[in-house]
Amino acid sequence: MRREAIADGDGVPRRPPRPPWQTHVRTVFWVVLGFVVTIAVWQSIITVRDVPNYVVPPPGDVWESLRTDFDTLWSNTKPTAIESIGGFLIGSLGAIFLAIVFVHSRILERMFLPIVIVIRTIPVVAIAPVLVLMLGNGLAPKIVIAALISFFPTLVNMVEGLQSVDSQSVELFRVLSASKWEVFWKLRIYKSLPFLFASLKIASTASVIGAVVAEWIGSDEGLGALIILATFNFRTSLLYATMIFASILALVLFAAIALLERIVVRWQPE
Amino acid sequence: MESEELTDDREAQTAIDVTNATVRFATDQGEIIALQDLSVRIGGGQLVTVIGPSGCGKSTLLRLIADLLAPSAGSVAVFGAPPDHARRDRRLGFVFQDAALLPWRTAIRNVELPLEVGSGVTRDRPHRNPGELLDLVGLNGRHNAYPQQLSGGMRQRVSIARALVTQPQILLMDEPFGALDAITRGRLNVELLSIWAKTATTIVFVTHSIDEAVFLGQRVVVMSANPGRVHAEIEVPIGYPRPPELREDPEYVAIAAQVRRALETA
Repeated sequence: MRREAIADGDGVPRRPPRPPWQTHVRTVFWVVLGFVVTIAVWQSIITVRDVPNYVVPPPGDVWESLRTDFDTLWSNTKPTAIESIGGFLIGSLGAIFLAIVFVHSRILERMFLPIVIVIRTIPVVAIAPVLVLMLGNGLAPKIVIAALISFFPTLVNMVEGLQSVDSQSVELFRVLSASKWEVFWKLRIYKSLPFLFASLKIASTASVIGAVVAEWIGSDEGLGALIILATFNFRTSLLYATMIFASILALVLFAAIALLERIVVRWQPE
Repeated sequence: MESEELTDDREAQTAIDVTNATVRFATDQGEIIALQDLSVRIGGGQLVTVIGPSGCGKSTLLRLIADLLAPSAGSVAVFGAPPDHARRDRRLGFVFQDAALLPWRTAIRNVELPLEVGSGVTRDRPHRNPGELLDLVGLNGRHNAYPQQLSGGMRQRVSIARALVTQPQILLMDEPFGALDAITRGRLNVELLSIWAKTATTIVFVTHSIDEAVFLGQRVVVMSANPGRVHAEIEVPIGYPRPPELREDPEYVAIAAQVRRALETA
């Protein structure tokens, strides 16, 4: 019984696969061990080099801050979450739309892709003050910056994905007398999905960075504002706790996209 | 009885008529002549194999017939009309070298693809049941498998079923079994012959293999390269069904040798 499982149809010998739960347990074990080792190294460096707490706080202080300042952290996470998710959705949808336009019109692509690339080279930190001047101190400039930062990777990848059709598939659809519309909906869209999700994963975490950076420029709420506040008040433990919250927010967005990808892309891309 | 009538009916007419066709491609290195002054005529219901060295334009010839390419000079007629008529009427089926299945569709959904595209007129046309076709090509019980869960041979069976679903009168096959191992290939050859017998389709089969060309074809078209031309046409006067043991038959061996000699001088 066991032997049969080892060689599959191709006759290629494989290692007998472990049961899935066992693999999961192993993965979790190594991840947890990684965290434990990192925290231990962190603590020991502080102890050995006698680093002052306002420069680098010990892990225990950060944990304490996570507990006592939880309400502050949580209420400041909400605006940042709205900004990054809103910006991510607007930026990604805009990028998908523009990619579809570019794929259908070479002329528009030639006219406007260079402009898009030029805008892309301007650092977000440089655009942020301009947008705050234009749009005020509210959510709007943060959403725009998060959208901008999500926009570019998705545009580039989506264009590439929509154009990634192989010549045999194109010939197949031509033999079937398919219309351009059918080629788009039954071939190009599917070909682009793996590319799209690869860029959405990048954009989801980048949008959090965009929102936080935008909050630095001018804001009285949000994780970015809390980072500025904690830094100027030498509340280093709170600063670290805020970073952990920002990182968790980015991870949650990333995980949501990864989950969506598993639901949508059920085949293995070649 | 009905299928016999159909066969006789088609035998009378010329299915494919390529006359003095020339195909030129412009490349960076200048012009390439893929086919020069090529003429070939294939009767309805026939099974003709095309063999030749790499770059002799075998695939180009198939693409001319399928209306994937237009000749630079000369003419191509399918059932007496320009090939785009046959393509639009779904009288052409094409089987590609590497199956060209859509990986996001299951086997059955891949076979259904031709019924979903093509100006919406397809559904009303006579077509075959996709499930029955998959059974015919030997994919019983694997209808809902994704292409990457299937072996190379099975994928190519699905692509044959897909080509047959619109009930084409002409099946164009571009080295469909080239990437398969010898055993799978031999088995699929036998099955292709039985499908041909059941469907009375005209088949043009491009291959690299002398054995495959002689085993399948009523006639073997040997092409030569640079530029692509018909070098020889060799009849295979052996009846069907052809069992695998045919390969040991002296007559078969003699014809295979004749094809080999033709290829050597090509």
